[in-house]
Amino acid sequence: MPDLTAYSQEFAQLLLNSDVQRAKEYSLELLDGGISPIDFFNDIFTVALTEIGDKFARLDIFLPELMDAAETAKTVSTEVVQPKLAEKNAGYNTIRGKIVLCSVKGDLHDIGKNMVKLMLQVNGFDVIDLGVDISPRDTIRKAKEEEADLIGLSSLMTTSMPYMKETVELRDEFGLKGKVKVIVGGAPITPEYSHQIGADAFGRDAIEGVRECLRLMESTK
Amino acid sequence: MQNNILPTIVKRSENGPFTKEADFERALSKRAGELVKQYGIKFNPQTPVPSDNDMADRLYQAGLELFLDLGVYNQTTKRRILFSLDEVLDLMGKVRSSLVLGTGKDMRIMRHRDVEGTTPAVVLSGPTGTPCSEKYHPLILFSCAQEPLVDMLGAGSVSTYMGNQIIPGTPLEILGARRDALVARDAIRKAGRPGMHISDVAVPLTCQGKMAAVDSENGLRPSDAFLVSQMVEMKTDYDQLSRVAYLQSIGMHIVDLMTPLIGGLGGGAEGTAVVTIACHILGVVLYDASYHMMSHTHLHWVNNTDRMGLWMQAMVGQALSRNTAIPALNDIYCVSGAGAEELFWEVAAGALAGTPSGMNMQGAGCTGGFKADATTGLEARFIAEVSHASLGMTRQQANEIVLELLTHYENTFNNPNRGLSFPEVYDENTVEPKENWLEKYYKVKDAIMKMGLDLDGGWKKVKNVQYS
Repeated sequence: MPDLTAYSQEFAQLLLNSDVQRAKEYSLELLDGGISPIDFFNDIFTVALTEIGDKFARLDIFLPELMDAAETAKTVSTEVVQPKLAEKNAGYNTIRGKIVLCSVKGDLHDIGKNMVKLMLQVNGFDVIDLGVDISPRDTIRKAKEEEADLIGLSSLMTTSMPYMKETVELRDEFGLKGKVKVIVGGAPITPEYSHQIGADAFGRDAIEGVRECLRLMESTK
Repeated sequence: MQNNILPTIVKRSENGPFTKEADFERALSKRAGELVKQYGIKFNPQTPVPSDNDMADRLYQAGLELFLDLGVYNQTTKRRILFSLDEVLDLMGKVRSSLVLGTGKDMRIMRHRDVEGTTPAVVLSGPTGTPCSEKYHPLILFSCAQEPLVDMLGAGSVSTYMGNQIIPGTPLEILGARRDALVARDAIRKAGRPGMHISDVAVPLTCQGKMAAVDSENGLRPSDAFLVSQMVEMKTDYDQLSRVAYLQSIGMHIVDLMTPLIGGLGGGAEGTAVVTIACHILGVVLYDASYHMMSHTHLHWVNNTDRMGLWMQAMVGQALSRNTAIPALNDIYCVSGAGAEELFWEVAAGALAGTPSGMNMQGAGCTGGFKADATTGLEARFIAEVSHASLGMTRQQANEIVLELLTHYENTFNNPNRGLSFPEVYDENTVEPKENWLEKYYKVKDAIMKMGLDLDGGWKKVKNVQYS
């Protein structure tokens, strides 16, 4: 059995170097060398991204490096991993879930939301980004229309927080509780507030947000 | 250029290069990283207060270049507002180096300060950046206004009106803004300082909300100030620019608020410092700001008392002091809250890094904004005492003490002591600090005096200067 840990570490380094060409070549070498696309995706690609996420959580690396690494990972996923999966594992779905994401009404900030979006995408989520200043009604309507598994709400301002509560209430009124899980995040948001408004999860940052989304998807299986 | 350049700004907002916001952010990240390398700007965690004049000057040049290359992003029109070098130099040359803030006997002069200079820093305090409840907001403001060493009051923000969450653009925003302005005015009247400068009422988030707080009798006056914000990083919109138009037309002070994130789009301390210089230039060119409020914070901890935050304050302060006439002001932002001993260590480090680096003082932002009402006037007193005592100190001397101060709190960042609520550390009737809070104040004060800082004698260095 090859040492997948060593491969994931080397792959993480290539992502951090933002060396798209070399990262693609390396992935192909491993895939052509006998590692199955599913093992590559689960045990190398995802593990490398988790390691990079942890580095960012400690600020061993900064947002620009994280963004570059995520963009590189996205290219590798689209151009190498997905075609290989389609070729060798027809029917295997790397899409882990569908999420409708937005900054809630009254909030024009989107750095945090954009970071969450990128990290969710490279971790296998289909992300429907509604943008900023989005009303609860528009969010719920889109989630229904897209048959989303999750709704992600971001707010950087205390004055926008009531719209998070309203979105959760509207979801419940539409009978979607249990079917569409809501995760909230942003600077003024706390786990206590998340619990108080009836959200299903809270993410302190993009990395924790992804972890929580994965957990929510697991819990719905 | 003409004095009123808003028509030019609007014209360029409508006709400048169309850019997606995400592309602007990527370009900013990339360019900031390039400039850090090009100008050889290096953060050394062992030197939170560097004494490198050449690096300070290079940092300023890097920030200027970033501003000229990127311009400012207008989120309303999704276009970049660009300026030429000549235009920027012209406007930077017109910066007012000293400002009269407030009126009558309570008036203060905020000045451009030299590196290692002896001009005292003015101290702005209030619950800026720390959320307050409706119940305790008036007492917290009074606790700051009554401190003799506090020169100006920040009104802070309360997010509810009679128990209802304030939603921007609704009548509650107008009512909340007027209430908070009145509470701030009441606080300075009760403190016997009716002419004290009030720096912003933070609850309104729209231009109309800010306008509603202007009231010469019961609200803010032209001798006071309102914040005009930059969105992270180097972004504006028409709502912010409309505030400039209104404030300019009534002759009221404009404060340029910037909140750069260390670890964010600018990268580490070096890149974020480059961005922060560009933000100050933005405040001069676009907002015609009287003074600038530098509120940089760590991306995760939401403070600036860690090594990167202190280094940034020191370097940006020195770069601005040596290359501009700007009266610079740093907002000391802490992870700890009132009632926690660590808060005194944190604010002392912030004051000591900023004072010899040319900064005026603001603070303290407590608990990273996570816990309501955990802020008081006592830590503001301490900021003033440390700042005044360190006047004339060299940066190297300050660096040595800051390194020692850091050992008392930097291991708490991942599990901070958010402290206690206002009524747990202040008597609600007398509005005096309780014994449990005073004990910690004296403990840290004594320890710092043993490090060689004369905290009881700082007033001697500022006497006869404040009012001249």
